[in-house]
Amino acid sequence: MSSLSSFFALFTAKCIRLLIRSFTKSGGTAAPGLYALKIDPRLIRTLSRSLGKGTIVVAGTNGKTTTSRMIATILKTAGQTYVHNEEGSNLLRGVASALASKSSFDGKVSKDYGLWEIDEATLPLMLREVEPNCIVLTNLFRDQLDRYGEVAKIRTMWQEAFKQLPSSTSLILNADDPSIAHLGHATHNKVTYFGIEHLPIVEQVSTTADANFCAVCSSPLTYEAIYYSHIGKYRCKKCGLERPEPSITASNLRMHESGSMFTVHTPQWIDDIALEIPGIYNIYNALAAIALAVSLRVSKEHIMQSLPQFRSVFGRVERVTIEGKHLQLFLVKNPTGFNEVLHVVTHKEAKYDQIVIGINDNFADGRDISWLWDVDFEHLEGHAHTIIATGVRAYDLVVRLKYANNHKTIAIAENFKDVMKHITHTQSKAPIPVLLTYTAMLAFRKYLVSQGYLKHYLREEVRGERWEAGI
Amino acid sequence: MVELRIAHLYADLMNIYGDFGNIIALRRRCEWRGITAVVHQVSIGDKIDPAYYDFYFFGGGQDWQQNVVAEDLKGQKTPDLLAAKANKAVFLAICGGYQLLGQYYQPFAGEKLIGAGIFDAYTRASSKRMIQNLVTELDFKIVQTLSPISPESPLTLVGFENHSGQTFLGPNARPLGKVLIGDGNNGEDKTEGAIDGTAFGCYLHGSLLPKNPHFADYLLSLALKRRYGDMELQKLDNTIEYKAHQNAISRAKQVK
Repeated sequence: MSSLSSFFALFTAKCIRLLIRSFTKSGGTAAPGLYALKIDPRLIRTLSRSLGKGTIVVAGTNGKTTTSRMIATILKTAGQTYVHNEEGSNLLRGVASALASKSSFDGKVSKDYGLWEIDEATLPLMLREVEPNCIVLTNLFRDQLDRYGEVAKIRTMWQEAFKQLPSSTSLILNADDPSIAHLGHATHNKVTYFGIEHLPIVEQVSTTADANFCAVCSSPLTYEAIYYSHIGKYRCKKCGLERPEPSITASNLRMHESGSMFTVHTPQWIDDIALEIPGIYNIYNALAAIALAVSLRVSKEHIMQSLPQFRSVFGRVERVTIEGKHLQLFLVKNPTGFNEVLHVVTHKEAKYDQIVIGINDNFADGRDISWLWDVDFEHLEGHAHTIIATGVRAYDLVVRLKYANNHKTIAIAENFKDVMKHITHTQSKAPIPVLLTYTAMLAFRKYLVSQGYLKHYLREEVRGERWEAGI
Repeated sequence: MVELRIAHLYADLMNIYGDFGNIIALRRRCEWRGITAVVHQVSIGDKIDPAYYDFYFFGGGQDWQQNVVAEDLKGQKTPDLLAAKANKAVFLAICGGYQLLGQYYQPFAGEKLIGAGIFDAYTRASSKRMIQNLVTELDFKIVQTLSPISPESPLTLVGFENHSGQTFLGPNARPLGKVLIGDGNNGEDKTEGAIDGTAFGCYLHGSLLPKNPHFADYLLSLALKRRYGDMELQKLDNTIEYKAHQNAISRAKQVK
């Protein structure tokens, strides 16, 4: 290894990780990297040098965790090894922690790929530490405006960072998101676009759309088809900007409440695929993963073997059975994600006895809960008998539901014990959707483990305060 | 049939931060009283009839959107909006909307962006990030108007601010309230928001009106007064809104 400080940083990371995992229930996926980077800020670059084939980075507002896990599944099936921040933080410290844990004491990480899910604000910083083989970008929506600032600012920040990319880095971009697609126009790097070719799904652009104006001339975009929010087939009548033609597409979409089927087209092959996770947003995640796999020359067989087996991750449609009640856990983080979860949950004639919704405003959830007013709770009309409201900002949720005007019964649960009381009280056999913001999901899973309902919990957690990186 | 006519200014551009919740709140509070709320979106290039609308709402947006809107305000919009204000229409402007309806916005570099002049206030760009829960006392005159009708209503407004522009009031505007927690207009003089005639502006997201139903009803009465004179609004049960209001204040104290 090149220097003493690198070795010391690596050694420190390993010690801290060992201590944390020995004496606490935490996964130690952020603190080791945090301290290691203080000792050697270039540790990520140093350790990444020994990766066999390179680095893959996944970023975007929604879908980065699911997409990177899908990529991991495909790589595994294809016999590729990787180091991935799957249990941990998507900031630099999470990357450093993961690399340090898989590194030998002389700084060798014997894996083919570094596969990193990266926070929006951290992407430019990460690009100073590695030259990725591929950058996968899923979408850009408003999210935690108090933390990230505006959507257009993030896109501009990324655009600036991409100017420094070597020509060897290729971009895997969502053609259907005007912000993301625009990054492809402004670059000399190789771009692979993915997108959906289908009839329109919604009538008009959502009031919470963030990118439905032309990035070049600011005129409103015209849509031939809208799939959700500002995602679809668009063009600008004023300056002629158009959605780029994707080379990886999904068509012939057939959606049902626990998954979907569609036809995948790539430059080399066409085939039908079935996903066991629902919602159009997961079709996009799958397309992103397929596009990445194809660009790494993974075979069709390996892709088709792995994706249909893919099951949900932390809080993304996790199914848990407790005392005979079937809970479906959904993570909700921002208006677009929440609206899509509501679409999935209220699919066709779905009727529930109870739905649990928990809203926190801790730092990792976003402190400003104004975003609740951009969520279409009106959509729940007629689908549930009782809504159980919980979390730090339960009362804000109750007010929102009151103004959505469609619930006879709203119960307020002060804590998870109360939530469980309500859940076990009902005779109904209907599944119970549980929609929680990030820290509420962490807390709920912790609670389930402490009560013995779950064997172990994924040690994803945000240690301390996420810091203001980059903006 | 009592009707409230609302113009939602630049809804397609200035719709970030959940401010749409204010339109939802107004609609429902009318509906629950048997009043018909008519809401029209008025955007770039659209004409306004200054005699028609009782209420103008203008929310917050991203920087580039504000530039586009500022361009549009240079045209016929500004005289029409000023005429509407002279006609005693009520204005509620939040964050970017509040800034654009002021006298001007001074960016770090370059020319002033001239505003509509509805509020006697100006805003200048700053590097001060004012992002937190915001709690203010409500203007005394408004409190005096409310207290005989609804003595149980809070003396505060609660919400969340997210801006770096600093707004300063001129002599013809008075503050919407005094800051108790947070920064408010500029983080220096402890004022939040502005009241200029029947125009009300502030930095309170949240959304503002749902957790501050006393203020929502105050604005509603004022807007209906224009064509219907003084009318007594049917009392609504605000228990849950007040609970959320107090809960939000406690939370603001906790995370300060």
